Amino acid sequence: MTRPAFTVWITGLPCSGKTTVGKSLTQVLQQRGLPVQRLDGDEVRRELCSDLGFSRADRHTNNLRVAYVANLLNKWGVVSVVCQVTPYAETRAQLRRKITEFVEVFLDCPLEQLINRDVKGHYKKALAGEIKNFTGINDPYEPPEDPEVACNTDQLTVPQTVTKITDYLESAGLIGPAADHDQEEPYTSEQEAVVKKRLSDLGYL
Amino acid sequence: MGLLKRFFSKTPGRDRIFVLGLDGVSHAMVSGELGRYLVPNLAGLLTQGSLLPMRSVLPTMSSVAWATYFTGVNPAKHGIFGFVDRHPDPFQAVIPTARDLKSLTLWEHLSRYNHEIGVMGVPLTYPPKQVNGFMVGCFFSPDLASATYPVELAPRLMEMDYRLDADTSLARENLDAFLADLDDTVSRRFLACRRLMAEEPWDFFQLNIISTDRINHFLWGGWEDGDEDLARAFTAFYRRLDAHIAELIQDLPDGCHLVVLSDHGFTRSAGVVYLNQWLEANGYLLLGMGKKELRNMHAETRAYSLAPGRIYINLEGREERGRVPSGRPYEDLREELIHRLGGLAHPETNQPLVRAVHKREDIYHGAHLSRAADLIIEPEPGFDFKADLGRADLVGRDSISGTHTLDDAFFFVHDTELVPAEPTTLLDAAPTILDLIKLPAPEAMDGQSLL
Repeated sequence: MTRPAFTVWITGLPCSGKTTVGKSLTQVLQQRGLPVQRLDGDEVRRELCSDLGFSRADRHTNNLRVAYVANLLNKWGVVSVVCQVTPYAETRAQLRRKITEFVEVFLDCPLEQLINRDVKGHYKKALAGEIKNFTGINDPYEPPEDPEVACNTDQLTVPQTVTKITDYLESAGLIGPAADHDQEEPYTSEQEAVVKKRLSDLGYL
Repeated sequence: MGLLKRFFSKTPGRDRIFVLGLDGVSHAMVSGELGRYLVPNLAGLLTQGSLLPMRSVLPTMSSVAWATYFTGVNPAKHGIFGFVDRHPDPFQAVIPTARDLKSLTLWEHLSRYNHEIGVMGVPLTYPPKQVNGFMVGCFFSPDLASATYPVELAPRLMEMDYRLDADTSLARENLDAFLADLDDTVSRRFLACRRLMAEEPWDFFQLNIISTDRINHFLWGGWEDGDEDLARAFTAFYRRLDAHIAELIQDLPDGCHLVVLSDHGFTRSAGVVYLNQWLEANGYLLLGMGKKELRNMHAETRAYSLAPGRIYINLEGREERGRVPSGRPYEDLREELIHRLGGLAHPETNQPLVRAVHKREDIYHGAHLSRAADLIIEPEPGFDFKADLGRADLVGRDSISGTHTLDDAFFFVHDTELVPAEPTTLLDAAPTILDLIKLPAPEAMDGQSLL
């Protein structure tokens, strides 16, 4: 029988880095030989939940549908990495009950920085009143009180965030330690900083 | 000239070869009157064989150039396109290392033929590979302890106070300290090289000097302008280097082949061109209001640049927030950029800044072409393309007064007649070296032997 896998559920405000971290985490886990399926908010809305809007009830239903799929994947040994805003504490509590191995990852970032980042231009539109029910601006986000992993993406880089997540997964026994070849990255982050400084002094970066 | 006499009197033995790599030393600097003035011993030596001007590679950066040299293949085969590269999705800037090389290196090839090798300081040799012999990594090594193969070599080099590179941050703060540091780095490197030549067995030995590139970057302008102090310091550096080279040549064993080459030329910097400033000002690159970083670029971005002069189209399906569809829209955008950038001129002097804008498939070929930038700028000599974000002006100046050139690197083989290619390029060096020591070149190599 296949060993059941787990779900990493990445929650956070729009632009907090859920998709970026989710993609990177997926790559890292795949490099460790694990089958991984990423379920990203935008794609899920298009493919699985195009009938749903952004009301509280619709958001709740959307999250529960994804939880159902994630848990099915887990049953057959596939790790699920879910990237969704998931703003309501009550919904997340229900996800925890529905998904056998649930790892909640909270990406925290000051709203001001998110508005600055605004890669999709949504904050600008929301602030101008062009988008209604936009989480963080005119729709609530209830931050998790006790997530398995909390990362401030304003302070951590993407690789650091991913490492924090894999460290947790290792400590919880959900994944094995990295194989030797994974530890042999050419640079540690301190070493990379040294080399980047050198290149920067030469004006090469 | 006593040393030359001694060198040439040696009798031929088995095929051993010594390669001296001088980073950023142009053909003009070692030939003719300038050569005799700046590096008299070396210039004398270079009259005793074939000295050819050599074309480097685009983009003209040491890591790309030396990788091209020691693999004998173009960047789309060896996979190194600059000092910095990027993973498109999620966007991440990375520094390529020797682990990213996709082609067989000269050192690995020689090791397969059981030739004993020693390699010191060649760019893009960190992390060092396991070879039949030893390697000392380049300035990409974070520290000496992790720079050598085998690891036991590191403590020996530490005892000699071996330096991976001079501290170039000094150049902007304290020029005298920088010059002293450069000299120190050079003399320790020659000392270590001569000791290892004597103590280790080798058939192939390559020593690279990076300090030449460093002094050229920071003192070229002062030297060319005839600034008394800077010109004196520049000349003194090269004279001392020349003396080191002369000593080293004396140490070469009987019948040893000798190759001396550089990876690119140098010229006076005419200005730094901030390409992302142009892309932003012309609506191709959109950055948010927050911290100006490429990883925060707006989804409406159509193109962005990495240094030097590499342009990536924000291609749908490839880039993190790609929006330019492949096929016709991609091609149209490339044509538009080629057209507009080709006419780029200095806003004050009206000098042209761009000699050519190349599509990647026109200058590279190989399995890793898809990882290359979509467009590569060949600058007018003197102009250096950077990728800084948030610059106010298209063209600026900085304290780096010398910059790389494509056309006038050099290649020299002692006591041998070379037939120049049209033009001779870095790709021809490795096949020629292998031919000299009577080994076949790997079929994948792009260049040809000049023998």
